[in-house]
Amino acid sequence: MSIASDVIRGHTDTIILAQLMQGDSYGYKINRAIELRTGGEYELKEATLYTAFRRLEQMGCITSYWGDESTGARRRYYSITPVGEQAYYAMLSEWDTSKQLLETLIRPHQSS
Amino acid sequence: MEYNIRCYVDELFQNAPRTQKAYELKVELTQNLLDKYHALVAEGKSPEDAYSLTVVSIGDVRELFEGLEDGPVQTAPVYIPTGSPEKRSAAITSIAVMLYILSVVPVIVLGSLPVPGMETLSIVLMLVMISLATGLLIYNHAAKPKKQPPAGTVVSDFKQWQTQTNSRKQLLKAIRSAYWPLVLALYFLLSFGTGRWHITWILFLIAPAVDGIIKAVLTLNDSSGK
Repeated sequence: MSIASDVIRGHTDTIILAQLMQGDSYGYKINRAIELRTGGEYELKEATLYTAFRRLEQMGCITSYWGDESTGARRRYYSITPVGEQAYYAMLSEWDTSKQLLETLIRPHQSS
Repeated sequence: MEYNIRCYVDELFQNAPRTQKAYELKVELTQNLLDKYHALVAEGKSPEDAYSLTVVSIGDVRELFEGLEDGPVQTAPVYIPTGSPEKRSAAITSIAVMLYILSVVPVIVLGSLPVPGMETLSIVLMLVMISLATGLLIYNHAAKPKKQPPAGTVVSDFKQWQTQTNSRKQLLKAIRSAYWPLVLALYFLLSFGTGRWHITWILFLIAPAVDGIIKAVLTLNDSSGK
């Protein structure tokens, strides 16, 4: 599990962008979606999540706005930008490449 | 328990930089933690368990605070080593005061000589010395390096705002710092010039009044100008 989360942590940005590709969302909702998708196996630490938000915002991949809930709960929503969409597809192809590389490296007897 | 979560976040953010970004992050984090907590309770967790699960899920906040400074992280200002600015400032003030005191010497020395036309020369010399000293004082005040608190704090933001809006005020302050030395100079000038020492001290009663009027006019201008 700890090895898995180490690998996953390197792709935090991709995971968040993948969530935002499905529509605007906020911190807890994104983390909840990740948790549900992995069947409770994996969830991001809040600190990791918000650090990634700030980083992606600085890169221009996402923008944020404050929602106006009538219940008094103020949530900051994030939405993906065209730059972010491009970055997401770039990250996907990068992941495909590294996945294949990793396969040949950790299973050399099968591919050769 | 909601209160406990808020307290916990408050504590976390005690060491965070005091910026708008940090405040927004705090609001955002608090709301999301509360969402998580309520979801856990709705799942059937006890409030205590839900609280600890929520708090544990925050993780390491140190990395979070790194990006909270406003704008690019400023490096310490580079000082050109021309000696300690405080020492230099003290030296300039001392020279100025010395010039004020010495300014009466030409009047005394030249006035005692039995050569005609020396009065004018002595007064001119005295005025030159006084204006030199006044100039030094104004320069010293205007060139004084302002202490900068670490960037990114509310204090520094405020200070910056203050210096931006008050640059005109700063100049006036610099000029006003020469006011009292000028009054003193005027006193000596009048006294030596007229020889009426018994009446010229009135100047020291008039001077504070004039100072007060100047101050009032300046503040009036300032508040109406805003």
